[in-house]
Amino acid sequence: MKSKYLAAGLGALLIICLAISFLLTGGTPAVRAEISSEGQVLRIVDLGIDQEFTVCTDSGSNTVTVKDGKIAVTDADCPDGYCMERGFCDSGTQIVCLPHRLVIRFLGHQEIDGISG
Amino acid sequence: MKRLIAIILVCVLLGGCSAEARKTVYHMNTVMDLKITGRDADIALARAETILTDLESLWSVTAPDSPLSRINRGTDVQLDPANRALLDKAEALSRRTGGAFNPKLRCLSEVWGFYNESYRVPTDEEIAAALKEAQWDLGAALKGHAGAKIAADLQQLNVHSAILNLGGNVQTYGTKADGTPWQIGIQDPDGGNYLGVVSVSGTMAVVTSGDYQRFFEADGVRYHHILDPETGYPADSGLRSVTVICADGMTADALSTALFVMGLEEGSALWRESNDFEAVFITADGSIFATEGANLSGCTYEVISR
Repeated sequence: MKSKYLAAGLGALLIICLAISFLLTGGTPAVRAEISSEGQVLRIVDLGIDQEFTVCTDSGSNTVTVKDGKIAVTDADCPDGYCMERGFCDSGTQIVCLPHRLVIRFLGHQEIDGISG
Repeated sequence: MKRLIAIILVCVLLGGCSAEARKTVYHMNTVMDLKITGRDADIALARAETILTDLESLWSVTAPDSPLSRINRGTDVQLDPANRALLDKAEALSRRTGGAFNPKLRCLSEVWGFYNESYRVPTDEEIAAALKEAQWDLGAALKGHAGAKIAADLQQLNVHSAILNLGGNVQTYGTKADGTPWQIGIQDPDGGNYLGVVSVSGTMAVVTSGDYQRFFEADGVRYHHILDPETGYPADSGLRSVTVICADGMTADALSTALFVMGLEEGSALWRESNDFEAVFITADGSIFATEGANLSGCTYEVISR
């Protein structure tokens, strides 16, 4: 008889865990961007708030600007300046500053598994 | 009691299958995102990194001591049969595309400054001389090959699914946990958003070649990195990008370059005489054309039929 209660308890726990995991992964997509370097997340940015800040890594610094729901690297001391050429965007492939190993990835587009480009 | 054991077993199995390993790595002069799900995810990730490092040291065009650089200098290098086969495959892809994919453009890329980012427009004499040299550069196929090689390795392990984004080359593996197809966006050549989404099932490569990926400007003219082996100049075929969907990563990579060089008409003709790939073309005026099996959605486009 005892095992029956245990089984019911475990079953309930399993259902609760599944419900929580669904809630965590299926929320409404806020447009956010994640800034990382060498796999380390440095900052999560809400693209709904206009702002400007500088991200410093061991290799150099990048100034990031958020304006009208879009994000761009607006200044950088990297040798090629590719990160700035991308301009303001709110989705698509990640913005990359390869010399500084800085990656800006867009969050909140869960329906897409990856972007080819 | 039996039921209890069954429930515990289900929990353990569910837990074991949902292990996910994720890492951003820097190889082949680009950023790569690896996401692997399954019980062996961590081991698989470590092995994927080893595969990337090994491929990079073997086929580097810039490292003077790599086996490929030594071959390019005329040294007799003993290659493994598998590596020899890779060069043969590159040559076969070149023949298949009438030379539009050319794995021997090292000297041409060099005179344009694409290796050390000292971009410049070479003179006609320099281009003619560079085209006469046939030195290997697998750059237009190597990332695709890397994706395929990692996918093949995942098969040896307990891995349920994986998505690898090797600098814009997407390689899928297996089936997503919810069983739905992979949804891969195609980058808008003008930046910002993705233009449409291709839906693929199982293990597949989705590779895009575009004029926006690497370029420089000189005297107000834009020069991109996809060189036409016939003219020695950046390909001018009226396309902004080509995406190829193919079960083989290296073929997808080489064909995306080749179709970009060939243009919409010739590229469609190559598709009609093939049965191993689908393609999406974005033209200079922003129109989108997709072959009938491309499974493209989320945008307006013209269908290319057999």
